Amino acid sequence: MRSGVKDIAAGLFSLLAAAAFFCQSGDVEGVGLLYPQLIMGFIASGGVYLVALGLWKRRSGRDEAGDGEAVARTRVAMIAVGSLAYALIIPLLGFYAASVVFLFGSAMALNDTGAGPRKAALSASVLTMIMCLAVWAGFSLLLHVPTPDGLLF
Amino acid sequence: MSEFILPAIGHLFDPLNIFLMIAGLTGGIIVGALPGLTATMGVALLVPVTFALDSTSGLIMLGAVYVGAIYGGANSACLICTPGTPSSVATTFDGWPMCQNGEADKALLASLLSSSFGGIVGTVFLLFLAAPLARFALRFGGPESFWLCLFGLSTIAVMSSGNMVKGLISGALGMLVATIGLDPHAAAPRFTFGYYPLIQGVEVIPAMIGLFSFSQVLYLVGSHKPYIASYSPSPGVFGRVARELARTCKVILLRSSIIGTLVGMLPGAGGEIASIISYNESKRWDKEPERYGKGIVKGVAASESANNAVIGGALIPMLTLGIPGSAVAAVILGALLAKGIQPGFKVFTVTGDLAYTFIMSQFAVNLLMIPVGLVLIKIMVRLLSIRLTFVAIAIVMLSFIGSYAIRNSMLDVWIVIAFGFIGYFCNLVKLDTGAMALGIILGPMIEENFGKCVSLSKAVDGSILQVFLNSNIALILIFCTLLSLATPFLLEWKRKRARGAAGGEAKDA
Repeated sequence: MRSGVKDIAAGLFSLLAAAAFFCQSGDVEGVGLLYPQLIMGFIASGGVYLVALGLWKRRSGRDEAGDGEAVARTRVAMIAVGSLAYALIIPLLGFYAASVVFLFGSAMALNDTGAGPRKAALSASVLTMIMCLAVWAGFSLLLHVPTPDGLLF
Repeated sequence: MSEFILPAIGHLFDPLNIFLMIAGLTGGIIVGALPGLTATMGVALLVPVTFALDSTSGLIMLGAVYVGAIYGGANSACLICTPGTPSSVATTFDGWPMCQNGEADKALLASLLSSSFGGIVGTVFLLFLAAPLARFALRFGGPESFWLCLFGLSTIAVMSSGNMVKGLISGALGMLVATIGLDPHAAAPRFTFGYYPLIQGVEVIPAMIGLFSFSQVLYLVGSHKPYIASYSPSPGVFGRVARELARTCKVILLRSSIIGTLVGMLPGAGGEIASIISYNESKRWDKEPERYGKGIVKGVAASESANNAVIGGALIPMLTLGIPGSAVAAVILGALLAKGIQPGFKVFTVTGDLAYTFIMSQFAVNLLMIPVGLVLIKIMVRLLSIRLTFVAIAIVMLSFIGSYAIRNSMLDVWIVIAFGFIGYFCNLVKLDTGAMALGIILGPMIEENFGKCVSLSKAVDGSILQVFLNSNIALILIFCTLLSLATPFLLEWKRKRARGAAGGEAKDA
């Protein structure tokens, strides 16, 4: 990503955040409103500055190229979607059942060892078992920290 | 005092107490290294265990867990860029780059030795200067705390000196996020976006896990790397790190430990603020500040010595005034009260045996932490030989259960995910996640003290400026804040002048 585009994106993100909070400030009053309003004003001004800076960089040709590091976007999307699905099924299945599904599924889907499906399934199963046992022993057994409940366990 | 010291040292050689110190340290380090499990939680979980022990042994064990947990956070901060406790946020700034540069063992050993040093300095203050320092801490009211937080926030100027506007915006975004939940002045819901559970507010730890850990998972999975970092254990690294710390970091260690102790004494200000301020000060006074954030021992030493020195500082007002300087100190205070021990100056006379045994045990615990930490480092560093994909998936699981454990709420799991995506996006567009974290940590304290100042100005019928500028401490802190904000410009001016002088000499030659 070029530096000008980064500035514009950062500026728009800041403006969006300030606008979202501003729209929510209807019922708030007093110091409880004054303090966030000061921050919102600051963020909005900074956002406008960054957008203007980005546009200026693009027009004046001072738009530096990015670092060009290759990103495996499919893998990023897979772990992101997998994590979202994991958070969604935890209250349905229970923490450990959902973890088994997530750990095994993600390890299979993101397998990059070049091994065949049987070997990949074996290493995914080992990872799943070790993690679930370690978390159960550490959090539930030793420290008695509650885990989210669900239909299963 | 002297009549209590020798018997106190004698208590420390009791085999049961030695065992409790080692067990407490080991448990504390593991708890601290696990994201979401804080020192407060570790100590609180062990309070019932101490009821089966006598007061001295129980207190020694709680102290060991506290020390271990604060240090333990550095392990996950260095190895997986996940601050195990909020105090370790600043450790990620250099610890994680060191790990990525193949120097994981160096980073872990530097954090271990610095933590031990900081802990010992904090305990020296606790032993010799408890009374005057406790009286000094009492002079911190709303305006002083407000300016202290702003001084902490001014760190952003140095932290993001290459791109200060983005750093300041990121810090402000963090402060804005910290306003979600109940308005502390009117106790009314604020910025909940129609989602009722948000009334609980955004908890710091899940936000940190999201910003530093989940966002790193997304980055690492997409990076085509087979392992987190290449790592080959180098013989004699312990000696090399110890020598480097002794030779080049002694001023940093001492300064950071003093900052940590002073910040630790202030109620509400903990290791996270101390480590960030110390990191900032080390960077500011260094001849090569541009090397910070790229993986240097000095950065790790500053952060870790400060956050462990906080322990001694936090125990000062707890023991002398009954005012805990941190959440963990509050839990220990509860344990003391449950045992029928009343904090105050009498704690050093009527129950002097107990008080001095506890203080001396802090020295012993900080020394014992080195061998115990060395063993655990050897185990934890093996994490780097596991394939990155597996580590990333495991981090997601630990992040979720760790954040859930804080309030038993799925909201915190969603906060991890949301801040993970925000952190990933911010890294792409070069918004500073460290500054955002600082805003989230300091935001509630700034708002609370800002509100106190406004109420105070109304109560005395004066202007708010009068309240803000009313004390010498506030004026000193304002000066420090302005100096901090001006530092990047001063450094740039100094650099330009040096370049100009070098250019002039070259021309003359």
